[in-house]
Amino acid sequence: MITTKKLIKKYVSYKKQPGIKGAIKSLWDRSFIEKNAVDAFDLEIGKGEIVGLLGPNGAGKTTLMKMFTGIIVPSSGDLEVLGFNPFDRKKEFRKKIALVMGQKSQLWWDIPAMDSLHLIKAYYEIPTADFNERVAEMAKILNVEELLHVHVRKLSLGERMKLELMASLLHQPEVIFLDEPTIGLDLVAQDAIRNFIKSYHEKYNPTVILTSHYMQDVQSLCSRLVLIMNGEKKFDGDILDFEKILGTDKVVSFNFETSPSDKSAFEKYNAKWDLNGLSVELALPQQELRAFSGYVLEHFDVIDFQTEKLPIERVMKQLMLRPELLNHE
Amino acid sequence: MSNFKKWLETIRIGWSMVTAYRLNFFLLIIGPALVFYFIKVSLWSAVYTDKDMLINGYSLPQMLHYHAWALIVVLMAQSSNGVNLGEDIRFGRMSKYLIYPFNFWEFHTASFISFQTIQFVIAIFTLALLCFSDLVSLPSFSNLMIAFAYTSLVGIFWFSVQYTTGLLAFWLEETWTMRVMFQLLVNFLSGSIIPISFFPAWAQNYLQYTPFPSLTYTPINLFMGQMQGLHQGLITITISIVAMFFINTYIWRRGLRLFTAAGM
Amino acid sequence: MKSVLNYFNIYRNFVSCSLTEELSFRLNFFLLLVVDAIFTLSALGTTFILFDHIPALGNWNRDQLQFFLVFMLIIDDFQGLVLSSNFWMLSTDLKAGNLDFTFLKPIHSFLPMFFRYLRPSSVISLVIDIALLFYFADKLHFTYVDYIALPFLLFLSVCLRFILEMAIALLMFWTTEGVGINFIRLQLQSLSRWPDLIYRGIAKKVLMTLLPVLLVGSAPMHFLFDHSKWHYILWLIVAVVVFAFILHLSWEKARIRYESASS
Repeated sequence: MITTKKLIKKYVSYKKQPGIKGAIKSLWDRSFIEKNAVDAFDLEIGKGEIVGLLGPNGAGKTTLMKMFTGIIVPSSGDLEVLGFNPFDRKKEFRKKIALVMGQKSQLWWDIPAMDSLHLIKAYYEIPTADFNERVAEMAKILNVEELLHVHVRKLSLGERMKLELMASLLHQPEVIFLDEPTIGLDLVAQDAIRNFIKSYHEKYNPTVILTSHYMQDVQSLCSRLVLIMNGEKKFDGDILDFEKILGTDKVVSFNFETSPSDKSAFEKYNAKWDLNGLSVELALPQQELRAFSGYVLEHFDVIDFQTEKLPIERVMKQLMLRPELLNHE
Repeated sequence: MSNFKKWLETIRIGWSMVTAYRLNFFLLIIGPALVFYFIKVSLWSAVYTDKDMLINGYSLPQMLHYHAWALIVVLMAQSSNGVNLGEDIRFGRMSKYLIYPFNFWEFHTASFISFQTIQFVIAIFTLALLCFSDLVSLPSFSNLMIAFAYTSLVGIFWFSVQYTTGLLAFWLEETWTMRVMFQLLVNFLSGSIIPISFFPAWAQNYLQYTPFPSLTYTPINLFMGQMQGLHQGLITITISIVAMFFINTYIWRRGLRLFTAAGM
Repeated sequence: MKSVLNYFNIYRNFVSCSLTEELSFRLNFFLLLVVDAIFTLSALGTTFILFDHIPALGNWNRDQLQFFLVFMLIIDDFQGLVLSSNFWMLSTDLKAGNLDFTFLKPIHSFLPMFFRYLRPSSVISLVIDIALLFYFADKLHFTYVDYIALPFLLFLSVCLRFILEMAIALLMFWTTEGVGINFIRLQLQSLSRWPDLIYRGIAKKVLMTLLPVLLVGSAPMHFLFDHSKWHYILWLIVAVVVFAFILHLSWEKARIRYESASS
């Protein structure tokens, strides 16, 4: 479906000193900075997969997506999507892909969404019967039937995003690129978008590439993760393996009624106490989880305790703060 | 930070913005000069079929002087065309000025000063080129200074007009229409295409009761060493600027109430 | 054939979207009409005033020059109707990286890039200017041949103007900031609003060949005013073909330049 080999995208920008002197000087004297936004990237994605593309801001995720969709041209390397070179921008290719960007809109701002959908129908030559059926179906699932005839500028971000999604999927693409589709949305709207993508995938089985900074998105949708940092691929594999990248210890935290007087039992599990000693976070090896938890519950006045819900979030955070951890792999 | 520093910093930002895209900057500089050279010089050279011909009292060199000074006046006075506060309002960037400890009018006035200084430098540079190619001859130093000062005043007038039309974005979806309309009207009626003395007598008679001649025709004449329109021009422009100031304050208050009420 | 129909269908959608948009801003619609009117009046007024003082411009009299001017105004109307707004949008879209979706659509990107926004208000000034054109044509005692040739000449001129302007607009892919390019575009338009006979030397040669903005209006006039100068028509056709090809080549280069700024 998608294959890249040694893919590179180079950007050139220039430095400018502040102020009028710098402004005038920059008219002729510019020191250019070259940066590989994507560097020697190898990737292989199969049909029907949902792959999460993770990485900090500016890591090259969006650049990668834009190369996959043919919007920008790679500087070098091989790239094939659905058997096409995206930048040839063959019409058959463009009819098979979709790109949804949480930060950009393809709906016309000053007219109702339905007018934009009709335009898209014309773009992709969607037969009227199919169009009506798909609009009705998606609008129902997303609960936006009432919004189709409202001016887009009057919609909330969440409502607009649902309609963006509809607009992008009307032509039933084989590959869907989702670039931060839930950014800035409230929890309920995020959930709605995720559930929609999930059910859409179950029904039509498209290949989906997703970027997001919300680990909940990744956790609930993706089975495979690709981590990109500074344009390089740092991890590619099963989401369960990603969780174990920093070890298999389970993170468990306990809250106490009163601060335990003897804290020595916790020390060997890398205990992190809060300031007044009322709660602690531990990294427990999997095989000791039950035994030690039982011991704590029995011997201390525990109010409540929890294991972490989103281990990938912790892993991501650690890796972003200390990228060198990856090099020990 | 004292308010003065805020102004200074805004002016500096304006300079960086203008020069950030250098080809763009270059085009904006040479554009007017090129048009002057290609259209005005070609047109009038073609109109004057022989060297000693006089049209309405103007010889060919005089006519070219007139248009060369028109170029300088437009460069100096109409720099505020780039001030686009309408977009700030239309695209909802207004909110940031309501939060900044720096006012909307201060920001845009500072930007105007920023453009104005750049345009002034460009005007001087163009003037030097025109002198060099013998297309203008300079008046006496005092006349030149008076003409520069007067033209700067016209610049402030243009800015206050752009400010008003920009503010209309509170109600209008597009403000460029208003701006273009006003510009077309002024360019034609103020003598920057054809000297006002060429207009039919009845039109000249009407025009003298309007501010239009004061905007281009008067400053051109000042640069060419004729002072007669100065007093009337000064009065007209000053009154207009003061009037615009009050109108702008009023529109701003009304618009802001609309803005904050609707949460646009 | 099917794809022509499809393009037609897409364009119909553009028309209806633009119309919906424009009519929802009624005051602006009205102001656009006023702008067009002022533009026409000041252009014609300039020639009136000028010819009060001179008998002829080159070998053209007042009627001929005004016929030429109205011909150019009609081309401006066509451009205002279908093309102009898009140039300004292209500039902002390029800076904001908003062309992403345009590039994704399975049609030639020129359609949404250059023809997406229409300005329906131009239809009204178009009608007025066409009426004026007939008025001046009558004053010049046009023959049947002239009247039959007129639509074809207009079509060719509009083609050349569109192609040249689109090619110039593509330069925005290099400059990113479009104001300068749009500014130059407008200046070239005003150059072409005077007949070629006022220009001389290298300037004229360049503006007739390398950047043939003068051909747009002057070539048809030369033929209409003197049928023996039919080679101007040939010249016009060649320019259309050559620059269509250049436009095609520049597009291939331009789209590589697109960097798609992230929001």
